[in-house]
Amino acid sequence: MSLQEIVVDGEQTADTKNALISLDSPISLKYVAAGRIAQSVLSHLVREVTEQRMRNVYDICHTGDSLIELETNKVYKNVDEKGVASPTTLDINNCVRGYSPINRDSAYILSDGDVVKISLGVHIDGYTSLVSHTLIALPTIPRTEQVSPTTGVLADDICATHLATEAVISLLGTVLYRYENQSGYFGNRPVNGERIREIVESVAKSFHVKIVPGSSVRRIKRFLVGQDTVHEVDVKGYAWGSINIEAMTDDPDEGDLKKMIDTEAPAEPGEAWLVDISLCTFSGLASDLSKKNGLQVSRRTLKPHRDLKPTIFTRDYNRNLSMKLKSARSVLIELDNRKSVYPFHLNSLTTPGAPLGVAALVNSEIVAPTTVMMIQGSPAPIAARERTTILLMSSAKHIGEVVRLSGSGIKPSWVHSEFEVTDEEIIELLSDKRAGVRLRNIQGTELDVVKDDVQEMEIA
Amino acid sequence: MSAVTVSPPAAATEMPPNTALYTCNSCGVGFPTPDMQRRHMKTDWHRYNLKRRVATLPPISAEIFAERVLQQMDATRKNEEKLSFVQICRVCGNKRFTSAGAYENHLSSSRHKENLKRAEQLGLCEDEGTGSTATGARDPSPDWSVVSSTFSLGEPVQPPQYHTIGFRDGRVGGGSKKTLRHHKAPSSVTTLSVAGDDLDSVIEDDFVGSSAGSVAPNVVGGVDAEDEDEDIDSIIERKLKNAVKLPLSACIFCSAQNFRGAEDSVAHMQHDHGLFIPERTYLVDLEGLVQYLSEKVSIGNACLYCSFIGRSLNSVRDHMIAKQHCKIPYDTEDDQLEISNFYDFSSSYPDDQEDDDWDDVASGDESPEDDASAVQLASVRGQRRTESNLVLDPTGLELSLPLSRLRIGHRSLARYYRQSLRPMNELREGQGTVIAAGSRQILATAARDPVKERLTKKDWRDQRDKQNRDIRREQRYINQQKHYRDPMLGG
Repeated sequence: MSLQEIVVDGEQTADTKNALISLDSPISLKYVAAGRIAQSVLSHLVREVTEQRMRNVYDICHTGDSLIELETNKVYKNVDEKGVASPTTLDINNCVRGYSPINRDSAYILSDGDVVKISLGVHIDGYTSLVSHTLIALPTIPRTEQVSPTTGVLADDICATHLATEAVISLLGTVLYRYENQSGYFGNRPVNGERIREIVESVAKSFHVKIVPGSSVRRIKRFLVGQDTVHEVDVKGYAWGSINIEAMTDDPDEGDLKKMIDTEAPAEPGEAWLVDISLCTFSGLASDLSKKNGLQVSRRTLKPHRDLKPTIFTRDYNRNLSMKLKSARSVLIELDNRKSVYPFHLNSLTTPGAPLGVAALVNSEIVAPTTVMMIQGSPAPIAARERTTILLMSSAKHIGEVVRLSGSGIKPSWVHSEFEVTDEEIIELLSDKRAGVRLRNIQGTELDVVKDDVQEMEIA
Repeated sequence: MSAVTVSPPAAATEMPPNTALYTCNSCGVGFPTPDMQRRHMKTDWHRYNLKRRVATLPPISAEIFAERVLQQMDATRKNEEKLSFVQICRVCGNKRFTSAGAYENHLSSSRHKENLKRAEQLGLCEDEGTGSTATGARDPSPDWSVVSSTFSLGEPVQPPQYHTIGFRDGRVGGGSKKTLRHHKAPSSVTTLSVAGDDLDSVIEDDFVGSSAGSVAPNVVGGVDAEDEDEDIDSIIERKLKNAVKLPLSACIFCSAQNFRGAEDSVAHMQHDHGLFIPERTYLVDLEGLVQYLSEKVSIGNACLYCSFIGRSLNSVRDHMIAKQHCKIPYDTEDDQLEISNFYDFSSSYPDDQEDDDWDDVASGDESPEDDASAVQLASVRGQRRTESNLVLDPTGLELSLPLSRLRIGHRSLARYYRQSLRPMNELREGQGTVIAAGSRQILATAARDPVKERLTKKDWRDQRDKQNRDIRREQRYINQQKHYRDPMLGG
């Protein structure tokens, strides 16, 4: 793979492998291919939900994973490692992470009004596109019919999540816009983790919602998209705590995650970023949000589900033990030979006796489970989540553009919030101009007829 | 042991008994001098008559006694032939057989077979000569010639070790005309010297000569040198006699029997005992090979693999099974030659022109040497083929076949080939990336906090200083007590 060196302000970027110059480069093409598949599968699943063809969560998750496998097998035949980068999960209402049932009978059946967060991920050769989208499980009704939109705290939550995501994308895009003059500055301040935190927390505060731990805006690299088992050293961006039970702390200044993420380093052109923002409704006083760490959902209210066992696991490649149990050994062999470094669903293993083997592997910490996490409280908080992957595509010839790999173009649920953004900076970022950032959205295709075009959407 | 001396005939024999001054009442003879009478008292004739007198029988004259002695010697000589077949069947309670015919009859009797079987099961037949013992039948020593003597009046002789039949020494008295002298030999060996004219020649030729020659070393020197040849001969003879003939349908290594044939029994031996028949493709006479092996075990009682020779079929079977010697040695040339008669390697000879001269050498007479050359030839050819097709490792310990990935290793490295090591799995790209990005090791060292470290070090220093101060203070006050206190008493 031929890679051109990118010189930014006379310095070579540290990781030329993740550098992105143009959409024609092989790396970009792989990113785009992964993004298109993710987008296609996501929009397909959204349609399944909104048109009420599928109500069983197991069906939806299973369809998602199967479609990803099917679609990735069609492209890049010579690439060995590709497929699911994040098993399809449907986190409903106050569930925030990891619900992908293992069988159909015990799976949750969607009912009208449920807030559904569809999350999935696709990678091709390690170039990953993760996506999440929140929607309300209601039949799509043409707006001409006079049906009122959803309002209240739920509307605030969904609005805030959407706006915060868009704002962060635009903020990161300003890195490209200001490329010629000073890299990574917007409003005369560097675009780094702290800036991102300010913007997200500002949006959350104005919409009176809390931030769910596990939310993060961070740079991603090939194969490294923030898996639970990977502890990277130099990560740019910001993370609002960890959703791992072990690593969770109420104080965001504490903990390993805080130490690992470099919140001062500015974003640079040629990088891929993951924007993963999850907000949840808050019924308390507005003054509580102003307290220290008040914006973050407390660890006490974040609990693993009582009954649901984890079904998604991630292999920890830093641990190698020889297992006594035969099924554990065979699972390990399958993981090492057929699976990649991404989380995998229990159902995707073909080894007989896989659940038993995986349980043994979890006990010896070779495999880390993704626990089904719930936010508790009364009234039960409802979380929304938007996740998208963007490429800060620099260009030698003209101003770079932000390539939004997934999560665009899907019509959000019709909600109306009475709050609005007050910060002028954020208003500029969210305006139609997007602070002058060129944005290219990768569109999904109808899965039956795969089209090969990238719809360019330029906001002038 | 008594010595019998037949002294020359004395004048007393011509004297009328009545005129004699010195008489012997039990024999009814008179002697002119007391010396002669005394000598008479020591003769066997006199003793014989004494015993007759005790039994209230009339005394017999010297002539009759001499006749009887001669008769007895004749009978003894006849017995020699019979005694050469003396056998004892130990299995059947040490039964003794003096004739070959009776012994044969006994061996074929059902009672004997039954006893033999039972003994085998109990493992009783450990001694050589399982069922029966052939005693030194061909030994013509007088010990044997007097075995059945009715004149057995002396003390018994210690029998030679391998002779299981006891014997008694004989005593021969002289005739009436002769004076028999009797004395003890220092080596307690029966020596017989005949004083008479007639007897002299007879006895010396047939009796004394042989006794002096063979009996003495037999008894005194034990069974050392002379008996070894005899021993091997007797062992072979005994083995041949005691051999249990194993049929082709029987297993060599265990008591399994009644297989349908050699093929079946070989299959059994392969499966149950791990017998491997080398070069099976070139084996032309399986039955012959099996028969040879079974004879080696059943008759020779020899282990197939090592030089062990058992005492019986059972013992050698036990040995082979216990030592895992149920195999045919085929490593050395001698081993190959031993069974080469049953093989035909001619089909393995290539038809190359260059091998013609080899074939010429090989196609000679049918002598065993020829077989040897054939085997040699085969091995030579094998090496040639090695050069052409197989690739030998530079170390010379491993052969690799060109078309497959199979490798043949040398036996000496078997322990290494047996190891099943965990295969080194190559990391895939993603795994490598993830592991390289893993920061846990780095974090463990990078987590150092200089401020915290400085504080910890200060703590340690303070603690040490306080300890030293305490020690110094204690030392300063140690001599400030008013009264002497014995530390042993405390206080």
